[in-house]
Amino acid sequence: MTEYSTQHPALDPEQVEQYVLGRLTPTEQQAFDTHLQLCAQCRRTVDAELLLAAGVRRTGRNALKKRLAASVEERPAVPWPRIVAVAAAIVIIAGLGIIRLWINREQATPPLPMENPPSVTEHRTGKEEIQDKLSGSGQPSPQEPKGTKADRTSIPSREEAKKSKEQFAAPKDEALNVDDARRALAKNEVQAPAPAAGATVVGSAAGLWTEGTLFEAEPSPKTAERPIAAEVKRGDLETAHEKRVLKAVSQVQGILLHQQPSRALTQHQRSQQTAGRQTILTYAEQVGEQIRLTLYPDTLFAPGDLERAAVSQPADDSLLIRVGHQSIGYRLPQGFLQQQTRK
Amino acid sequence: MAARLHFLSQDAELLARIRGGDEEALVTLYALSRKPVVAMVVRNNGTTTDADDILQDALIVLWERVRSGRYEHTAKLETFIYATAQNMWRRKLARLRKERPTDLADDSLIAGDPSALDLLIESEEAALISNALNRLGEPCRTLLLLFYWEEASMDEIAHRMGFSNAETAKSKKYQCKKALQAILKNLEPIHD
Repeated sequence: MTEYSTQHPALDPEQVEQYVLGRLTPTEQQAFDTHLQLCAQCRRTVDAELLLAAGVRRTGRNALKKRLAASVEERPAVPWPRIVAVAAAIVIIAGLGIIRLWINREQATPPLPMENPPSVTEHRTGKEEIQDKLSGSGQPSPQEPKGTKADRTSIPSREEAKKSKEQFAAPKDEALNVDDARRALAKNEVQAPAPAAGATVVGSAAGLWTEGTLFEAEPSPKTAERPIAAEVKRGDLETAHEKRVLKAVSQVQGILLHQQPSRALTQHQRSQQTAGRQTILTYAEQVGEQIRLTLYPDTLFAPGDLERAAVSQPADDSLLIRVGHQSIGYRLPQGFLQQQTRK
Repeated sequence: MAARLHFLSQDAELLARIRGGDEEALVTLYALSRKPVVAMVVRNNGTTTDADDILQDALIVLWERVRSGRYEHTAKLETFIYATAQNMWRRKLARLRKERPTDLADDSLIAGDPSALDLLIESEEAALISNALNRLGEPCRTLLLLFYWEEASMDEIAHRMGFSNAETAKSKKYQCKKALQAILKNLEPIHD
């Protein structure tokens, strides 16, 4: 044990340093403390050494604190791994949401305008309600024509539904005389309207339900069976016949054909189809700068046939679609195509 | 259990980094500890700026203790930092003569009592010495920092500073202290 006497001329500077830095053993420290109680000069020496150590440490702390503050400012408060994890989770959730919305949009069955709209609880399944909730997050679906929020969320009254049907659905007593259209087209008697000069889709984005009448197509000139894309691309057609067809096709360029099995329709919607006739319920809507027709046939067309389908417009309010060996005639509300395309 | 092991593993890694002199470990701990410390300070009459300041001080205390070998890992590092910050804020409130909040407990059991040296660091005299040290040229400034702040041994100082041996380093330290005292004698009280 180290003995400290009051008779010493001065404390060992190294012992003082060790004491200040807390490096003495407990026994040594106790002896040192005892000595300090008896030696005022020694206490002053120790106090000076303590201040020196404190001042040096203050310098070190300040320097480290500055470096730490600078590093913290450069880096976010949350560690990168956590940020990356959160960002990844957001991306995954958003991706799943987009996929679900897309699936919902593709599979959703738009409601028919109905004379007697059922209450929500009468005809809606749980799946439909979930689909509606999902589609309610922003992306409009065929079930949900664009409009104000109030428009989308309110249940249409009987009058509104009737008005909607009158506006969008082809009146049954004025159904397209597809036989006349077919004959006219086959005989090149249809005087197609002037070609659109850069058909630009504008106007109401609301879609509409319509019925297409299905019939077996008669053999027609080759040009009439050309795929839409090929017709649109060909600008050097010279014969009057081809030109006329080209005009007709050009008039309705930008029409996209989709199909869903009719079983995707609700029972109520299927019941809306005209009985006793071969019809295809179809939903027409604006998608971007194009008009998309979603056909709901009982039997799906072969994908190749649909891709090669030719669309013509025998009259202002009529569309004729040749798909494989079949044709579908539509009577659209007067001005619908003009609303969608600006000549 | 898995989470507990994760924290132990994380603490061990951070402590090893601090012992190795990796200051980036403090940045990691800063990010992990900031939220509760800010909440504690803001709840007790402080601001987020106060909280950041206190948190940095607490991290430096941890740094010093680990580097000097005086740190005892009895609680999670985040707990130690929070307790240290809480005690520091309590002392600061006392200095500012604000009323001590009742929910601001004394966590000296976790953080440990501040030493006489710790308490002196905030004094004006210490600021004066710090100022003098910044005027001291090299290698004296670094040598004194190594000895008093990093608490390096004379052998380590000799090795790091390129002295031939510990005795040479010891002799140099004596000269440096004399030079510092000379500066202090001519130095007016200036806050750093």
